[in-house]
Amino acid sequence: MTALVAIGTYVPPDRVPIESLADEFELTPMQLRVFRRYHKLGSAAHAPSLSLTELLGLAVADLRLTVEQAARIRYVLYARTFPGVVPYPLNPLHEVCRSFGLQHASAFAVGHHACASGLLAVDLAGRLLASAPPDALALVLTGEKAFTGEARFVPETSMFGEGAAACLVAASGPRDRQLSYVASLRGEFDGELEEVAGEFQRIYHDALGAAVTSAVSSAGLSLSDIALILPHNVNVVAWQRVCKRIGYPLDRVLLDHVADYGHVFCADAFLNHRTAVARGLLQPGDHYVIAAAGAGRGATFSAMVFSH
Amino acid sequence: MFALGLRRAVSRRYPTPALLAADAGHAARLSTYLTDLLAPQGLTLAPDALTPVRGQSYGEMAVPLLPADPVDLLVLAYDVPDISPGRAVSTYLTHVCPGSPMSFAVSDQGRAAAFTALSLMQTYAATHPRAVLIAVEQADLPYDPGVPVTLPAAHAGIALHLAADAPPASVTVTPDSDAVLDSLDGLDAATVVLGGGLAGLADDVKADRVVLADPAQPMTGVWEALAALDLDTAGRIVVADYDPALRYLCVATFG
Amino acid sequence: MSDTTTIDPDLRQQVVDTICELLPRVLKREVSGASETTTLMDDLGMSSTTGLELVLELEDKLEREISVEDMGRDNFETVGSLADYVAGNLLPEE
Repeated sequence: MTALVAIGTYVPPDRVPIESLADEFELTPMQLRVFRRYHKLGSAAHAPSLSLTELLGLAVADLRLTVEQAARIRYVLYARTFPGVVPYPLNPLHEVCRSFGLQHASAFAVGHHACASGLLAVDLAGRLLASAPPDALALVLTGEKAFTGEARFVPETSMFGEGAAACLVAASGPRDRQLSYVASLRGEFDGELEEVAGEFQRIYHDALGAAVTSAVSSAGLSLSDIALILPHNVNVVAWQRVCKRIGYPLDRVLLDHVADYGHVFCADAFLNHRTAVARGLLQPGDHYVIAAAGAGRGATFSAMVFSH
Repeated sequence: MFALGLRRAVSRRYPTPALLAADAGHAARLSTYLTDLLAPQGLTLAPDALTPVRGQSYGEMAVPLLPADPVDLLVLAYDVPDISPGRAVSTYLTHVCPGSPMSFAVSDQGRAAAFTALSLMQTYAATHPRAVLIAVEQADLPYDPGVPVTLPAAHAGIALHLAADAPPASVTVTPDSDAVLDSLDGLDAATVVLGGGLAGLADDVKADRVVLADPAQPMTGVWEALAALDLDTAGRIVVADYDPALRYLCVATFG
Repeated sequence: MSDTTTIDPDLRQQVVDTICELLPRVLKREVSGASETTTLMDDLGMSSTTGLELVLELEDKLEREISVEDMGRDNFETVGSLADYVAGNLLPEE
């Protein structure tokens, strides 16, 4: 059973408040009030002086990999919300691998699941490790730069924050074991966001709720067995509505970072996991859900159940 | 032990422009996206870079490669970005592909992405016995990235239709490799397809037949050559290539 | 689902009227013939966020705070259903 071994994170100290997006995205004072009051969008993490390579590198550095661990890493998977983020043929993934002496690993990007690509990467890492030597490890990298308007703000929905996470994965382990994974691909939402927005909004909470309940039942559990949901930091209203749909208490969804980090692309789950552990919100044996949804010319709703 | 094997391989070239290329709204959005993409590197987009839009769209290229019958899994491998760099192409393909398969994309690994995609697909064999790998490349980069770059000569796409009841395939992707001939020894292959990265070894490879893939098509060349073989008579086939920029040695064996 | 039997009918009517008054401001266009049966999303094309703007405007106008924790899509179905929700979810005045 795929297990998370360790999580390294980097969230920069600077913040951009949502008000700073008003001009670029033509947000009215009333809209800003709605975002702050209901969506709990406040500010997003910002690293203006760091390149993408540096951002990812800081998360890997936070892992404090031993030489022995680094040698055991056979795969490095980079999960991104945005498929294209740097000029071709630049390759931050391989630059980071070189910096950390990981040239012996097979490194590649996986995605097209928008913000749910991180869950895909964990699942794929586990699949590869299942037929590798038992002490083999994989590294899942997440995090991006808010380099363009679309990567700064999703109309009516969320602010992206800059940050990164590096998650070390093994084929088995004593904790944070993956019990299930559900990915619901909704390719009918291929099209510019404005065109599909109405219908997408209509199905969003149902689809995300369904992914969560499906992952939970796949794991042979019921919602009452789930101690915590680690969400994607899209906004609080979305999760309020999902919880209402599926009958899960909102106060067991870790939404604290919506207001201070923003939506850190595919890294939210890992940043939230860090916080959950630091706050003692997860005890050994607790079951928790990681869930995320994304859109961007194609929508995906995914969830995974773990045992801590 | 479940494994996917090759049923058929198909390839295409795309001489006509993408439909999306004519969309002025799209070109405007692409211009903004690329301008912002280039800025952190101190690069700019030339004023005429997108007039006209010369690149192709992987979504459009993949559609004619899709199988007619339902599949359970679809994986898209690519390297050069297309004219919709923000699009979740494989998710769109799930919507239009028979069987609404689970799908995802693999990239950032040069020509090795297709081989890695195959190895990922093998991990699904027990539960997803019918699968298709689509590898695509398009030939236009509308900016000068300021570093050496190799682009394919033409827009091209391939599909490998795989099934759990076909003779199993196996794949290895070896990182940090010098183009090592030894890996191709002892494979006991009747037919060996060598990609552009290994063309220099053609005389040293032992096989009944050695086929050289089009070296101008890094991503699809070897698979295009595979598609041209008669699978019934080719015997055991090895497809091998080497990515000189990222130093991956890739070997896939069929049958 | 709010318990309508405990809602003050005068308050509810006041909310219905206020919603109808606020619609042009929130939708930034003329709105004619709105009543409690008008469907917000279908008839008026209101989006989720515009719906929340309406709630915020209502708070300003009514000078009361509205708890949105239990609010779902169904509450936004019609002017009437929204009025039901608002009237049943006003936070106690300080």
